Amino acid sequence: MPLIDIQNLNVSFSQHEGLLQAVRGISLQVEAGESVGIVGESGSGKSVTFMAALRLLREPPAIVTADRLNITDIDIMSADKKKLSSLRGRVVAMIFQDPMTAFDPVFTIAHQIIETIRTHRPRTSKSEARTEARELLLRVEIKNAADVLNYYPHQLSGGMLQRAMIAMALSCRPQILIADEPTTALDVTIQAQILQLIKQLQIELDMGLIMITHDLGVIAETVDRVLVMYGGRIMEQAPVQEIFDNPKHPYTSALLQSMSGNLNKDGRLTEIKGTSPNPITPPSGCPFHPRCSIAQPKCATSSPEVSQVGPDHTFNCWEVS
Amino acid sequence: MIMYILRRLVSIMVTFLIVSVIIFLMMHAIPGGPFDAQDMPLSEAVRAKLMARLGLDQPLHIQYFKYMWGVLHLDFGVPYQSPGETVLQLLSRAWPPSLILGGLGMLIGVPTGILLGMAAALKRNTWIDYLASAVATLGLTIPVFVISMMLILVFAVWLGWLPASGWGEPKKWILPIIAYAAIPMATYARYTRSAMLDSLNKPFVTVLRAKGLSERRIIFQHVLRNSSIPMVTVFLPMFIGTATGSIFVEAMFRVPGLGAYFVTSIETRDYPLEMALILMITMAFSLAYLISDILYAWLNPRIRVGGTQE
Repeated sequence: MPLIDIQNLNVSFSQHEGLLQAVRGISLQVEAGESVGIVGESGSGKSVTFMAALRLLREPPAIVTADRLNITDIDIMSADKKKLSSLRGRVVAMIFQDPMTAFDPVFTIAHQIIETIRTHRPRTSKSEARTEARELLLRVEIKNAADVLNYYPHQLSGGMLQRAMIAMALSCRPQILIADEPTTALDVTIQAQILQLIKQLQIELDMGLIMITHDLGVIAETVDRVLVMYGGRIMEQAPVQEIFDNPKHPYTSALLQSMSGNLNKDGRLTEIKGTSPNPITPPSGCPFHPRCSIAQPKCATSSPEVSQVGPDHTFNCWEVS
Repeated sequence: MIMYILRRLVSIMVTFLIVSVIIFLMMHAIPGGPFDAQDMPLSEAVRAKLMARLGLDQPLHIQYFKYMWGVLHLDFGVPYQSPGETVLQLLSRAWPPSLILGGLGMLIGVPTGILLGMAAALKRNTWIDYLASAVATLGLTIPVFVISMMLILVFAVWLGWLPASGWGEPKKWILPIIAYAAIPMATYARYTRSAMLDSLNKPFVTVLRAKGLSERRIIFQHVLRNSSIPMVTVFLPMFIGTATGSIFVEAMFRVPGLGAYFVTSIETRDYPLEMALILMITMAFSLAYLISDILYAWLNPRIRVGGTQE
């Protein structure tokens, strides 16, 4: 049984201008212990998918529907608040993009880690939880852990806070860690350290990892399998090496082309022409067709079906298939 | 921090002196005096003797320094309208009703306002929010004497449940306390609502949810604590405002509090009482703001603990 099993997930937000369709019929499965990368540009629906999967979006304005949405054996769509709370942090932990705003500014780091531990294991005493918190900080390579416990968030740098957030996320031994752009807000020099730390902890603790990012470089270093998202849909899924060596979908290819380091013949960075689709009035058919260099009339009228190229490699494109 | 407090205390003393000069000059700039002929038919000789005894015949700057010298020794003089006691005795007699009514008004108004604001923030854009906002807006916009009048009309005249005015038995306190509570209630409802909405939209709230904390714990421990900073800092100045008596509420309910003396001391040119009242309020507000600022720093770790250490 997969750890996360999503069938036909739709997420929209009711807004003044109309219904903003952030996720449009996504299906995906994540096995226990697996590491999966979710790649896509801003607005592709990659974060919203997992926020919705944990019911972390405010509903309304968010509207979440799914044919199936299971995490472990819990049916998320029908789970009550208590069941959802006991799942969050314990089975699935999340770390977020901006560590500077992720902690409550008026409590110490110790307080915020201890409260996480004691929420899921209420029988742990405060001093036991404190010892655990210190060990967790050491584990994420914060050397002066005993001091850092007593710090308030504003006293730590972004990199240190992101380490502390990882420590907090790991405090209840989650089966899977969802990292939502965990390095985007950090200095480039720190990014590699944090990624390496996440990867190393994932292996040591034998937990699953979902890495949400717009950066293909991050994906290459941390995950086994990749899902490419665009316009609220999955465009391609494949093992990480396949994505880089044998991309099928024109969007995947374009994304790889636009990685920095790939200069075109004028010595300029390659870009994908056009702009992301408007989520209120998404294009009919394949969401990428207005920007696709090989689009056919058919692409504008009907959504491409799934094509299989390898045992684990699928993509959704009329023209390539 | 100690340097900061000392600096603030010095600046309060300077403010105090400036206010005293301005008030003293304005008081004497108002035409007329305490013993004018149309109010008090006294003979010239008696009037001159009275003026001499009270020192009113001396030059203004001498009068000022004499008065302030007294103030330094906590001697605020004798009120002209009640020469049988000192100003301090009069104030300590008149203050309790204002303090009790103002204090109880805050005690009722502030928690009600906080609850109203919380309900509005947590149920935003529902009828609860609209109702709470409407109540808060009415509380702030309807003048307190209109509220007082409506309370008297409904509860004293029409329903006959409560006495319309007076002082003494606690039954008579109820209506003025409600009138006093209106402004703290409305102010707190608005502060709480906006502070809570502000905190609820912070990214750390999503992190707390993702950690598996119950909604109740998130609201009561984290959101409320983050919203409490502005709520705590407006408390003391507001308390001074209500506890020094509202001229209107006390006049409407005929409460023998401080409020009335603000009017009569100006009307009758009761210089010592007028000075004492205004200096007292200046000092109370200055100290209230100082304590609020210290509380603000103490509640906010970003100020209390200082800058980045890493």
